[in-house]
Amino acid sequence: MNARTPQEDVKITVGYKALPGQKDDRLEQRTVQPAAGDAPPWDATTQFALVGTDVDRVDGLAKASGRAKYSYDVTFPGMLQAMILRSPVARGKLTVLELDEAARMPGIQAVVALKEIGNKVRFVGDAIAAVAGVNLHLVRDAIERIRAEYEREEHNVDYLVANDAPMVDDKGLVTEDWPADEGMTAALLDAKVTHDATYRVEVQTHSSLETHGGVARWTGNDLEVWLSTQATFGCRGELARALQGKKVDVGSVTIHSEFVGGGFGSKFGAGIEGLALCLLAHAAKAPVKLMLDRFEEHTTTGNRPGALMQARGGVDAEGRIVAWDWRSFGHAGFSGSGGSVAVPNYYTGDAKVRRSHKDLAIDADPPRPMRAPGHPQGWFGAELFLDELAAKAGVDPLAFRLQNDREQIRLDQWRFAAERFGWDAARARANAPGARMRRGVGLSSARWGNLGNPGRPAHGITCRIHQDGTVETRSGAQEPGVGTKTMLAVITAEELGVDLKLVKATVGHTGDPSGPASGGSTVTPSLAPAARHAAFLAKQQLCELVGKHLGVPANEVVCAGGLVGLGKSQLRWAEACKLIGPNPIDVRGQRFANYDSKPFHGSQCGVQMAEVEIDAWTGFVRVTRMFGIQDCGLVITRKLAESQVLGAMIQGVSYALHEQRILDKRTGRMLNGDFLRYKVTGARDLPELECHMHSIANGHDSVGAAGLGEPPSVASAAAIANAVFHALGTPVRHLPITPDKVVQALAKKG
Amino acid sequence: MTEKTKTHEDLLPKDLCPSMLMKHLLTHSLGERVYDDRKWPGDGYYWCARTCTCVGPDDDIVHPRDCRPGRTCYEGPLPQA
Repeated sequence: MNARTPQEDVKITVGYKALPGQKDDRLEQRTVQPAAGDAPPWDATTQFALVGTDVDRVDGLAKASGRAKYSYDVTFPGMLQAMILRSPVARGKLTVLELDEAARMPGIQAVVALKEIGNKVRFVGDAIAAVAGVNLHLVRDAIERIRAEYEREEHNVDYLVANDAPMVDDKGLVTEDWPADEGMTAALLDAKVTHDATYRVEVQTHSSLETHGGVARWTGNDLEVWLSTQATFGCRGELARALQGKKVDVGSVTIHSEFVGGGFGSKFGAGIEGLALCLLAHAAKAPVKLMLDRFEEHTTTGNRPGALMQARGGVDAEGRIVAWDWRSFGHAGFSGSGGSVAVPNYYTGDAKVRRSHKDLAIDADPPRPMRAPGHPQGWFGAELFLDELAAKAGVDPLAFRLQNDREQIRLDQWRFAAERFGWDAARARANAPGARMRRGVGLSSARWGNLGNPGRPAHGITCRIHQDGTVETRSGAQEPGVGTKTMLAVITAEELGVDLKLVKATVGHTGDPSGPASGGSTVTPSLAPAARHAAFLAKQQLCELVGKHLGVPANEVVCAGGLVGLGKSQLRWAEACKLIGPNPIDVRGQRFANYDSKPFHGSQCGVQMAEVEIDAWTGFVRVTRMFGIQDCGLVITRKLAESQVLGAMIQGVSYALHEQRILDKRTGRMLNGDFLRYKVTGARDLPELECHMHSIANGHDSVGAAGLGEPPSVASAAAIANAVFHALGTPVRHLPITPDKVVQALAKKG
Repeated sequence: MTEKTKTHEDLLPKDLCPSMLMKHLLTHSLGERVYDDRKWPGDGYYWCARTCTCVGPDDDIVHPRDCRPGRTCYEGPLPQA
């Protein structure tokens, strides 16, 4: 790439070349207007040296060797440990709170109230007070010395009997009539084949390996917090606001979060634990660590909500969907919101469509976003419904998708996945009548729509080139394990034409330029163009120096393959950087607005296929293999992109077969709030996993990348449920698909 | 399916209390298109910057429907006279 600055229309090629085994390229021309000073756009014709290759995670060795310091690992001399007293009552009012005895205990240095007398208590686990002391043993003792009393009220932790819940029979089927709609009634009457079914999913917890919490240290009115978070800048502002009474402003709060042990959507806010540790550190005048234990993590930090979903629909004689009626009810915790369900919208074309959703409040911890909020739930119900409808119509599920899917990218993906997975042969393989071990295959689509944003104020990246040839790229945004550092390093190395080993990426300190929270798959598409712009600016400065040194026009100097220069007048990168002098080239790139022209496609498409083997005697389901193809715009680092997809599949296996929060209706307490009784997929449960990254030039900005937190999480559970339907010949409409449900389904089938 | 062209920003009350937080504010994604018939922006998970929980300083639930002028803990811009 040369250093020319485009300020006029640029013609680019968007789309993708034919997938392996397919003939047709899907390439189109666009004219875009990059912002003045921005890097010229990469497109489908760009030849990359590094982008798209299999580089290793730049911090992989640090993580594998234990050198990576998570908030959990941070420690200081004299640091205190802390815990939170939690409510044992699911609903009521705090009537007594006496902290004095705990505060007087030896070794206890701070006790703070987190609720006032008279405040409502809304779930088992609601935070009441917090204690800091020299070790956790003393802190536990002190917690027990706090006198807290409650006025109990009748509670309910079952959303299916909440106010406004629909009537459900003893088989879990919604029995309420559908709301009147003449158009829907007519469409269903006109359909050749119709179907009506009820689906249900249970609550899944985020189960991040690093729990919520952190370490706080005050120096006068300056506060530093090492926080396990998905939003460094959000938490900085939040804590500054929460601590207004401590004479704190945003500029005096610094958040550090360079390594985060997972978040999956649960770590956007500082949380009561974040506020508590700051208050305790302030009161104790000492650094304080407060990390939640596993039970608190399961019960007080959000979840993927459960849902009850009902669908009815019909197809015409050609197998086209002509009616699609959907209603869902989500568990929403005490807040009464956040239980929403999303469903695919690309199958229905001109069909008569209706959709409604209602959140149902219960006396439990509210949901929080979790990888593609609402999508895995809704896709499970919708895609299983479609398979059932297809079966009634006598159509193969793949043929049914090809008939009804309206998005060209996914149509190509369906065909590619079917070929790679061996769909036709696997689908045709019949289980012997009465066989104990039964195999089946299933599929599901996926969709997520986020191509990044410029930020308000614009996201930034610092790029420094040093005299010794090393390069820094820095963002204050966090990285919850998804590979952001590697992405930043690869983009920078590609733009500068240098070896990746020369680039050090640092994230997670709010002293560096701001970036978005890690949510909605926004970070990569939002920060990659800023990283590229920063490197582009730094390169221009280096090219000025080299041009002057070599006596060639700076705007014609090229950085590529570790060389800087023009034609035969070139310097090795290390020699060129010696021209920089003792002070580095130090620039700040920014994320410009997305191009005005229409992107190639406004969302990301994917397809997954799964094979299961089921023991019909025990009901035990084992997923034996899965294949996925996933579009994420431009693939920046293939290995890490694949890792995101495979990880989502693993989480999907867990959601489909294992995970379920169980609340005791009598007490409101979670009965399986640990990793012994809350089953998460382990190594022995894993199938053969394979994926293909579908790189697409979307023409959205100078890079054209998209994120992978959400997109591959949408399809997995649905594909597995459809494979179970194929294997058994009868659907299991309730996740997780545990052995008891399989046995019941077989018994019902007869 | 009829897709509405509204965004999360369209669903965000203009007089919202600045202490009310949600994911889309932190990811700068208010401009994202909304594909369903939801009435309120974001994922439905709202919390208060002053309490760091889903309950405001007045002990009531945080929600864009409610975190507006008239609430005792409201700190945002008041309606113009």
